[in-house]
Amino acid sequence: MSTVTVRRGETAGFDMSGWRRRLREYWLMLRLLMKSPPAAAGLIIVLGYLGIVIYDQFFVAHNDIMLPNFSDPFPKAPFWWPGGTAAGGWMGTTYPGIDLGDAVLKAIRIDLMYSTFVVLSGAAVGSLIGVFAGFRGGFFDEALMRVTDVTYSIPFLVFAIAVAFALNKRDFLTINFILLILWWPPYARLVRAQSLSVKELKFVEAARAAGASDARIMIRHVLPNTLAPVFVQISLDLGVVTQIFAALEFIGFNAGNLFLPELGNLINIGWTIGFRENPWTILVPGIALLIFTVGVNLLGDGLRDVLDPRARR
Amino acid sequence: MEPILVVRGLKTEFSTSHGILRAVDEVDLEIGKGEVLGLVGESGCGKTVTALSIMYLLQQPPGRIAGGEIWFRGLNLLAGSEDDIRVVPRTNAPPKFLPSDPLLKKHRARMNRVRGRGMSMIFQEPMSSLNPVLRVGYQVAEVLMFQRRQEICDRLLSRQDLTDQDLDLFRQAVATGDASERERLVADFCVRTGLRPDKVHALIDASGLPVEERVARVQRFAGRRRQGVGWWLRFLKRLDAMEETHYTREWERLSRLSLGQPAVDLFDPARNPRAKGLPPLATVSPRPDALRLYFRSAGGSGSDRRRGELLMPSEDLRARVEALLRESASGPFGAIFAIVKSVALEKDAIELRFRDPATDLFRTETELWSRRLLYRIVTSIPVVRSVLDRPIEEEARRHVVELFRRVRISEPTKVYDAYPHELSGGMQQRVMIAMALAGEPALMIADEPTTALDVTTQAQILGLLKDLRKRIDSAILYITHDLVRRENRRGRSRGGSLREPPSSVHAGPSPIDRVDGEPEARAGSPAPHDSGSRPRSVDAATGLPFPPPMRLRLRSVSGRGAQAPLPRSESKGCLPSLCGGGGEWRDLAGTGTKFCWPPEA
Repeated sequence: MSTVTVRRGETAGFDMSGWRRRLREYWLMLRLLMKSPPAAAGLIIVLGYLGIVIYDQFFVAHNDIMLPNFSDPFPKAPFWWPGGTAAGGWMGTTYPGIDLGDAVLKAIRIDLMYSTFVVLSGAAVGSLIGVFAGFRGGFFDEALMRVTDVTYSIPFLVFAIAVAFALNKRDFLTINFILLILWWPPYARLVRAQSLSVKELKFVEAARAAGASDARIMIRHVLPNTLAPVFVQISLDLGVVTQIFAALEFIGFNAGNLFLPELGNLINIGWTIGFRENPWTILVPGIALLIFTVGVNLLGDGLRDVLDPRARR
Repeated sequence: MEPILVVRGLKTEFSTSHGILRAVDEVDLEIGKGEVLGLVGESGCGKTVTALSIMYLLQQPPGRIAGGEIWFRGLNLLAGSEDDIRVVPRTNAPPKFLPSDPLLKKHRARMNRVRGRGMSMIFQEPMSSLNPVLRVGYQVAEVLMFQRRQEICDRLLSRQDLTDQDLDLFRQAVATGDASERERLVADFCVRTGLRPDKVHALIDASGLPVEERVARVQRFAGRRRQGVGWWLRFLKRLDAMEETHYTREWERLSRLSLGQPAVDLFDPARNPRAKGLPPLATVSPRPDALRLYFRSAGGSGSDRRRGELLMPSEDLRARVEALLRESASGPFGAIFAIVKSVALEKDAIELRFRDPATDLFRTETELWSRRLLYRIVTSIPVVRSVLDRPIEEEARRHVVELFRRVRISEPTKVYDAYPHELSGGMQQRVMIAMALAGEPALMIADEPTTALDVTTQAQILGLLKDLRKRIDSAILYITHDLVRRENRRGRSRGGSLREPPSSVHAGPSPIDRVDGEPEARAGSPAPHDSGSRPRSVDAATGLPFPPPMRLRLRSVSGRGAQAPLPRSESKGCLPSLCGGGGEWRDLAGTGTKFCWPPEA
């Protein structure tokens, strides 16, 4: 082991640094993703929304409140709408004098940030619970999976209303708190099912033969093999959680901040002031929500193929 | 020769719906240091189950190790594991295996300490033995990173200083006009120093500077690197030293399981009046070559225990102790007894110095443990791990590239970054062999490593193993069903003489191919086998290599009933790639079974 021979024309094994190797890997994934048009469309939509988030975060003042204009509170149609005027702007306004274009941009930031937070933490907790249950088996498996089943069976809308009533706090943070508690079970089930099959594979035995401990095998060998469906599920859930935010805000979980820029809140306002007279007040936030959901679904389908190393290069 | 693995009366059973199936019955085998032992038998006769039992990788239940002893380096690996799984009789159904989880867990943990650096295994199917989502190089590097982390750290630290030789290499690279020669020199320089080739090239190409200024700059560059990485490396090394202490303590606990009384009592003043003033001896470092003995201070208890080193003041005393450690037939504990008898109680000859491993960076062992735990948790997050472990991983990468060269992978740097599905079967098997070699184990179990491969690749892999045998110290247990070839390998065990039957897997065919009932198959057998007795160890002079049931199986493999299988070419000897072409065919003990025999050494 002490002598090192280097042959002519061959470098000694560190010609590319770790980061460069990793970047190359991502580049290959991106190329594969761009080969399928729906996935590419999904990626572009999601990147567009991410761009909006970054823009809002760093370049927009007062990005956590919709700015009302009480001097001219009544909704105005966008300029391209039949009967619209230039005063309505690109997206129109809603009551009380809120510019919808501005509000939707801010709402996208809030929705995307918080749904990412909820989904990622749910995925992390669920994956760890799932891999532990699947890999250890026996009593832990049974206990954890029954807890998962019980948690999974709780209807979150009803639970959210109950918790909000009990805490006497009907605001956006309560929704986040409830979703944080309830969002891990699908991941736990997914990862457990995967790890049950993965742990029987030969390479786990090979890792054991090399002296790897159970924890190491669990984290380094079994978990990475279960993650591809988890990433897909994460991208799909981003849309679902955003919809749940919208649904709860729509039914009035905005007690903390009536001017919280949130798509459901905007739809609620539009609904209250009259959908028939001012359809754009619902259509604009509704279509923003629709495009995002479609985008993450398309991207999720694309990720399914890309995350398998066998499909790359 | 000192045996490294001794298996006595190993019995392994499986619970099936038809009752208990005994797959391995009373297997005895013995492998010396650096020897190769072939284990031959037809499919389903229990070869792999034997190997899995030795590695304790058997799926339990439905499997169960029903009895026997496995002595590895003076430690009975099966000690205390009789009650892991109890057999519960049932009235209208076959008996049930009832596992005891705490016991199984305990013994699995014990075996985890032995696997990897003690013994490792090469599996049948390379295609499924590699993790499909990780790069193959990383999979090998990972083994290095947890089995030999300290060595990796040491190697990296030793690269930090530029020696005169390194600087000479650099000067040569600056002086040479030939581009490819320069490339080679730079690559060599980079391997020795761990510097990045592009940086070194940039310095060499800085033609505006005088040569000595460039040399000074490369020195400064390496120095900066040392300052940056050195502290972190020393921190990691300290953590690993802690783990080795843990390893030692674990070993101590295990030895108590297998040897009954640990050596500690010999230094106990209550038992040994001559040991007054000496603190009780706790245990010995798991690697005998380290020559580090750990002591427990007399008053200490729990986490306050201090550990010390036994320093040998005189060179010849050191040599004596080393010889004792090396020659001891019963592993480190036997060595401790021997040292105590012959050396240690000459009190003046030995200096005992206590060194608290925690003094350098940490005040208490608890603090060290908490740091270690924190490090473990933090590095379980993938991105953080790749940042924190990066210096070690880069060093392990160099090491793996060397290993890949050793197993004759032609483009090791490219293979390092490949995924398993991008490699051919032969290449995958080479990677598996590299992985088994990574821990530099004392015993490698090769479980039909060529089964999934074509004939050409088989020959290459066999040639590789043969070549490796000369260069490493590992003993190899070679399991196969391909008779003629593997006998050669067994015959080539060190010393050239046949010392032990290659295997005693007997009376354990699966119900489908139960052959011991065939009368004509038993006809040529000199001593009828009765199932109750242990197989006989046969003297080399009589030349009967197999106990009778084994021979039965050999015949059934040939597919000609009682007739002897005819070797492919009697006149020319065996395959030249296996025993150098000089072998001859021999009829063993008049059984009609022919084996290729290597030339006498």
